[in-house]
Amino acid sequence: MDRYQFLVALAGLIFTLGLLGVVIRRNLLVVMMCLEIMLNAVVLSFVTTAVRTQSIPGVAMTFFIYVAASCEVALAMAIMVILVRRRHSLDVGTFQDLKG
Amino acid sequence: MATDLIYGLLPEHLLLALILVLMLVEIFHGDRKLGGVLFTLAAAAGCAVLAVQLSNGYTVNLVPTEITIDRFALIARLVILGCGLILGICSLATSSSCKFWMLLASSLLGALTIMDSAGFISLFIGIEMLSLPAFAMMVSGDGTSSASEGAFKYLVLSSVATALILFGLSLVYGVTGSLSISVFMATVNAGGAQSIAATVIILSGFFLKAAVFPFHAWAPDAYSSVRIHITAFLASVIKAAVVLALVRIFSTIALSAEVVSVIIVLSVASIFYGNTTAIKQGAFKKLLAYSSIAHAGYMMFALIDSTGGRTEALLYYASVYALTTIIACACFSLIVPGDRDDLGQLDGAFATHPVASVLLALCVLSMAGIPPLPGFLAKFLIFKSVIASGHITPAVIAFVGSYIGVIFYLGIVYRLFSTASVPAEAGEAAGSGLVWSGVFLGSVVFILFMLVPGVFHSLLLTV
Repeated sequence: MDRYQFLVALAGLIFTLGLLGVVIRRNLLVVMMCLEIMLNAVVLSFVTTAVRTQSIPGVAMTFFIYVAASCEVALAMAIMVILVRRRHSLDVGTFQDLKG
Repeated sequence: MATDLIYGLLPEHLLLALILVLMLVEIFHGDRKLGGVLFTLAAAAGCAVLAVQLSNGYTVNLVPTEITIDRFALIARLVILGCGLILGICSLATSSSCKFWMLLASSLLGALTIMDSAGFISLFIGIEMLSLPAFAMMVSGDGTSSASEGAFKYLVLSSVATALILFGLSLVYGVTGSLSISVFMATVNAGGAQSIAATVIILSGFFLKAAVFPFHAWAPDAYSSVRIHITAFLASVIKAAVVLALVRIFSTIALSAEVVSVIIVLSVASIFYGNTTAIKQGAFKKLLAYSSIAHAGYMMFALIDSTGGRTEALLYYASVYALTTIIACACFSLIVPGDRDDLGQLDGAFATHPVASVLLALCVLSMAGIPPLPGFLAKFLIFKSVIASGHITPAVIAFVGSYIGVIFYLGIVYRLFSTASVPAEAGEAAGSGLVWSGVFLGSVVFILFMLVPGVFHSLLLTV
């Protein structure tokens, strides 16, 4: 296994960990962190290929991913502040107003 | 080239200018009514520009491998912007704040960017610009805790979907060394296991965004927690944009057998789950959410087609579904003023609101797929292309599933025309004249779709 394959496999592993975290963790902040972990894994995978093939699109994509990720976090934090003000809790389990 | 950059992307530029002007209006505390008027003007001008470009056969490759204006881009943008315009006119009376119009314009701008992207970078930016304003729209101007809860669920699952799409794209990039959609299309069936894995991951991301069965959990919560014109926006423009983005990526290529079997299972499950769960719902928005899960199933079903009829079928289905959803929501808000949305409010509505009741009945019958209405033709086009591709058994199963849906759609019609119950209190909501003009415009387009079912076929072919 050369180092590029290793890095892509590592990215896959980190992505899976992030996805698991979003699904099983109950704390809103941790869920947001896991989302960021997923995006960072994607960035690692893009950068690895960009270095391996010496091409530009992957590097450009990285910038846009970070821009989009920071917008997402800004919005998520704003919505979270509204939620926490009402519930005084960061636990996903307390949000039971809506059930499917 | 410079004129092409302005003329080719004129609808996008108009929306961008609108956003900037609305920001200034908001900063200088200008007239709040201005927002809706400016939005209507900009969207109508954008639609007119697209119609002119379509009739002139205008095509241009603006930024090689990133932005290209072809027939599909023109038609899809006209569909999205047209739906946005009709939705905007219907919401003129209810949304007085500039923020709503700003967010609506930025979301539409994202949808338009998706439609003319030829590379995955602009596609990704478009997808983000489509969904981020939608979260803000859900919470803005409506401080209820359930709205922010629905928005948060939607935000988390939509971000997961974005991450999945991106991860799939990074695998594609690993195989091809390029982020251009045409290179992806050339290698999608030839790249071995990694290509199939990438296709499945990208598809699951889009399924999550379109609320197909195992990924549907956010839709009922998000749809039912917001006001009805925003529900209409989520179910029409956003869903149509996500489906058309898939058409943009996969165009007319036949997918590999492994991917096709995944799509068949998920879309049939989605049709059955959506239709059976919708029967139990007592609230209009929830019912709309579950029926939208079923409709997402029908639309994804078109992806298994291998005859090349996918583009036309999905354009027709997505635009008819978006239009009927917008008209149905507008008629519902005319019959039931305020934020109540239980179906009991519709009992005997024909006596008090005859025109709105008839229109709502026609819309739900069209969604159910009753023959003379455009919804039937939309389903017919999809089933035709699926059967022509040799998938007869799944088509028959999905067809049976679609008949389960008729039950709850007919339930709404029954409630509207029942006479035994106490009629809902009469009384027009404020500004219903504006809603009527939106509904009227929508109905005209609805009738056109019914009279000219081959509209997209001829538009796609004409050069």
